Amino acid sequence: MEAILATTAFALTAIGLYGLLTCRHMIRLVLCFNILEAAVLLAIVLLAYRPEALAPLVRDGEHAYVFPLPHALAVTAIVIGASLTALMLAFIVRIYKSRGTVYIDELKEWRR
Amino acid sequence: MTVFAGHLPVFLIALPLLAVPLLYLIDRLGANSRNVALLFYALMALAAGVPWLPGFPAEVVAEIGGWPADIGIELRLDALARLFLPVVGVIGLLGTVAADPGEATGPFYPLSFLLLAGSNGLILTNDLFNAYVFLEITSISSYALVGFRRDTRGFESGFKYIVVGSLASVLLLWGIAGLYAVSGTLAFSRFAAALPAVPGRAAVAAAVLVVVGLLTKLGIAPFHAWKADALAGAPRSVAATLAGATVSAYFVVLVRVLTTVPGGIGFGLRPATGGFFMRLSAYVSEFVAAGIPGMLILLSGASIIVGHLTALRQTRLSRLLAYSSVAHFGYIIAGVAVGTVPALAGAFLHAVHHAFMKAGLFLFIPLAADSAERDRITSLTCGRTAPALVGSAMIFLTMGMVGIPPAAGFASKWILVLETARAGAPFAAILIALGGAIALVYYLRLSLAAVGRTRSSSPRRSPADVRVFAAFLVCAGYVFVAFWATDLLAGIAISVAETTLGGGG
Amino acid sequence: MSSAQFSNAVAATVRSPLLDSGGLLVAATIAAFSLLAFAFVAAGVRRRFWWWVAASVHVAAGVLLPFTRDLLSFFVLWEMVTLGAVGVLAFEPDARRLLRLYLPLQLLAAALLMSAFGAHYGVSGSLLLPVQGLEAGAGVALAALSIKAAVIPVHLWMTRTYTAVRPETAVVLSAVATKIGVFGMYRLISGGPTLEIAGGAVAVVGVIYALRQKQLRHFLAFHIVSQVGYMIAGVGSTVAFAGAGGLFHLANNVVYKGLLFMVVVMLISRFGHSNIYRMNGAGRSMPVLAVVAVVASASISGLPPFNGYVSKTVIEQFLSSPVAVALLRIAGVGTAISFTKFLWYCFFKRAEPRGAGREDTCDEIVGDNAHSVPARSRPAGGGVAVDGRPAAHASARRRIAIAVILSLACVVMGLAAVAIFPALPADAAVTLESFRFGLVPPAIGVLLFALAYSRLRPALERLPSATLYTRPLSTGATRLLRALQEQHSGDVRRYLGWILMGLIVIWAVVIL
Repeated sequence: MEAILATTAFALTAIGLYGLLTCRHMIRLVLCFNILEAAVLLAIVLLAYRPEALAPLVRDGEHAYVFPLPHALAVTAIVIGASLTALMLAFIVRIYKSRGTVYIDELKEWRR
Repeated sequence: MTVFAGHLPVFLIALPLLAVPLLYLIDRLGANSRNVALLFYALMALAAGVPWLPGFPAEVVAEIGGWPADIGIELRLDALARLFLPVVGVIGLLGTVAADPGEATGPFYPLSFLLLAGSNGLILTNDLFNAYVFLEITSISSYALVGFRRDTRGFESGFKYIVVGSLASVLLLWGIAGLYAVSGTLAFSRFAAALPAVPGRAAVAAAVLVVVGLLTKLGIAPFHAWKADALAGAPRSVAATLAGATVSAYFVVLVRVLTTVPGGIGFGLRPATGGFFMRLSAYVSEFVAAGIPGMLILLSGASIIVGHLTALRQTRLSRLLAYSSVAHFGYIIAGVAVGTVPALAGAFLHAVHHAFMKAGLFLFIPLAADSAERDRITSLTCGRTAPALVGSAMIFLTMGMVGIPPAAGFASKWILVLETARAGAPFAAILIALGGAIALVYYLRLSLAAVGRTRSSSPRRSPADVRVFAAFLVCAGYVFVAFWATDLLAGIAISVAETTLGGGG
Repeated sequence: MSSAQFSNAVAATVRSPLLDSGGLLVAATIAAFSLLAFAFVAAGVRRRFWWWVAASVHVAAGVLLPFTRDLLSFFVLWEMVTLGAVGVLAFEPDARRLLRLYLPLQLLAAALLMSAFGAHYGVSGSLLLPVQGLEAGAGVALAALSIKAAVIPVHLWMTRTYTAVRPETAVVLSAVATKIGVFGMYRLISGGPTLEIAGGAVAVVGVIYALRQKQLRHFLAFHIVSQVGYMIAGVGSTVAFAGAGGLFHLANNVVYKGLLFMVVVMLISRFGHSNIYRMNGAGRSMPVLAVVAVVASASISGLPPFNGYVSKTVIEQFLSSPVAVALLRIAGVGTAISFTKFLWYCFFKRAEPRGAGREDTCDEIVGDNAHSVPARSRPAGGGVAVDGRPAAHASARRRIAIAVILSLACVVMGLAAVAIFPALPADAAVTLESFRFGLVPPAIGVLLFALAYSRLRPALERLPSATLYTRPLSTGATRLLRALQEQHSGDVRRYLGWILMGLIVIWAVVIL
């Protein structure tokens, strides 16, 4: 189980990085970042995983529960990722409005 | 005093955060938010200076919510924070003061305060993940601020910045997860205890990820290329803040990581014996075995060479300054990598000096250019307000960047050269010293171009001009005063370096 | 570095300057000569105020440098010398573009010196001036000092700027920069036979290249290179007397080389061009100048009783390496040939019937010295009797007077050498005996000039010039910079690739 998830995380990272290096379309870049972020989040949640454990909610009786701290980290990272995505998309919209392109290699304004 | 002191770290982050919605509200209500923003920013800069008051405790630890550092978040106002808080505050203030009223509209001031809150948090936090959160707050607000020129180039710069910065964040997050997995803690102050003195491969790999993420944010070669694109499209005042203040905050986090993770710093080749090739192979093997510090020295060398040589051919001042920043952080990282007390002190001193010099030179652009877009070196002139003063102050700042005696940059560079050589990294010393030789060529080109021309169009002066002028002069004045106060500043930097190295184990 | 060290180092120098006879001699000579040189310049074309400021900084730093007690002040003053010169060049109408060459080389020197000081500080833990030479980084320091001393092949900054500035400016510049380099070797390097031989080689190569020059100032510039070779052989020796000889040669060189530059200034303003071979018959129209030129040439060729003789003999007598001595002797003969040529063509050869040189002032350019006489200096900068104005006459008389004072100094420094510089061996004075031996090499030189120079000239002109190594260097640098530029062309995906590649490489190095 853990091995499968860890492999998935690394595979997602590889896919994301490949996409970053090959995609011209800016929205695809955003998607690549989302994939990369999902991979990291998977890895972080995996850190907390204990076999046979429940969610860290204190109920009556004692039971094994997964470690709560990484979950807190993951939630924070999700928020950050969402705002990052929003900002990227906002930039893409502005660029499309002023330049009429969504391809990153057509942005050559700095040369002027 | 102590009651107040205990809460100061929290205030330094919470008050700017509080200002964000407040200023946005004022702006929405149709009132002019600029003066309120400036006043409040000045107060924050003053508050950043409070830890220097006599009687202030040497170290203040604020545990948020009463949780200890292992599971909670701890803010720690130590010597390092005390040194860099005023730098971030003052340069941020100068950048905000110099903001072009045409560009500084809408959420500009709220974002500036978000940037300040993030930077202060970066400097104060004792928790790696918390540092990540503040890093993202800082970065996201700076991405947005870069786009504030509201032209195509601004958006392009912002998007490129955000793409590279996001990759850095992802790497950083992987590294943080890795470090947490091997050590079981995220507090800087616990790494030394939680990791073995010679960390295993997994720990080193994770630490490398964290360090590379931070180096990308700093702009060290080969992770630097975004820097010119981002800074060239940003409003000039934002560029000054980013190149001076924000970078200093990133630098503080980097120093914290490197000084707390075992084996993060401390580079020095022992003198080898034997023939030339024997010695060479001994040095190379020792270098490879040095781990992270060896890597840092290599990267700093690459930054110095690539930064200066690329700056040599730039035709636009903002890009030139960005590449020069790359080289200067090469100097600073070399000092950090060597990791002796005086070398670290030299690095701190140079980081502070460089922040002021670079901010000043970025503020020179709006003074010297016809319009916000044009910063070709050949089209710059020495300003509408007091051209002689602006010209000589600019020349003085470039002297500081090059490292010529009556400017502060010389003192810190001198210390860096001597101490890197002494600690056993002579090639770093040679590169640092050589860097100035190349830098003088392009800065002289700038000086000759800007000073040797008078403005043909009719002079127009606006209140904004005067504000930029004042902020620019403050930077130049700092560079002048700091040279004569070298003994004092070096003493402070050394005590900071001592506590940083001593406290981190 | 302890915090207090930074200002303490400078304060120590200010409170208790290092006063030894060598430093005093160099400082006093540079100061005295520079005053005369300033007077000489003031008699000519008006200079801008900032030119004077820059020149004063240049000279003052050079005068103060021998008194420093610590490496920090040494470095600061070294930089001030450079900065002063840069200021002077910036105010020269035709020399600004040369800053592109001048600055990088000078700053390379400063950078190397700074790192050498760092290495020394690392080993010894002290920033005080070392007594026995730098303990570490001596090689790097030597490279830096060689650049400042304009040793071949890093002489280009000197030969090209001294020939492109207005002629009077070269008089001022010639006294300080290269001399500081040699003096630094005296202070910082504990030499040995290798350095002696290197000095000898520099002297010989400098003379060979001086022999092929057609332009007066190129000819003088290459003689500076050659003379610096003598000085390096002297101060690079471990023998104390040879070092003293080298320093005395340095002081003498300030005087007679400056004097020669003055002579050249007056020749150029008289004839309006600077081609040696077209300057016929100046001896008849300017007899005083001819005498001055003879004295200066005799000094540089080491003829007794002039000062050059004393220092050259002392150096040759006390060098430990016979190879170096032989090289210096060869260089001595070469110097004599070269200056016989100078005197003959400029002063004593009869004017050709057609009056060549008056109408045909086109300057031919030799080899690597692609910079001809600046256009502005040609119409008689403070010229002698060209337009017959009384003011011009007065300034010419003032200039001649200054030159005469300096040629007297050549004689006095030769006759009273030991009194002036007590570190010299007591038997270094000029005696009747010295005329017997001292006249031999110059005589050989004159003879060789008369017999073989016309045959030698084509061979000399076929020698490789500095473009041999400057051209590949500059094209290589341009290519590198262009490649760097292409890597930063705004392509974000390439940036991302760099980041990932860097990460992988670092992982490979650090973890494996």
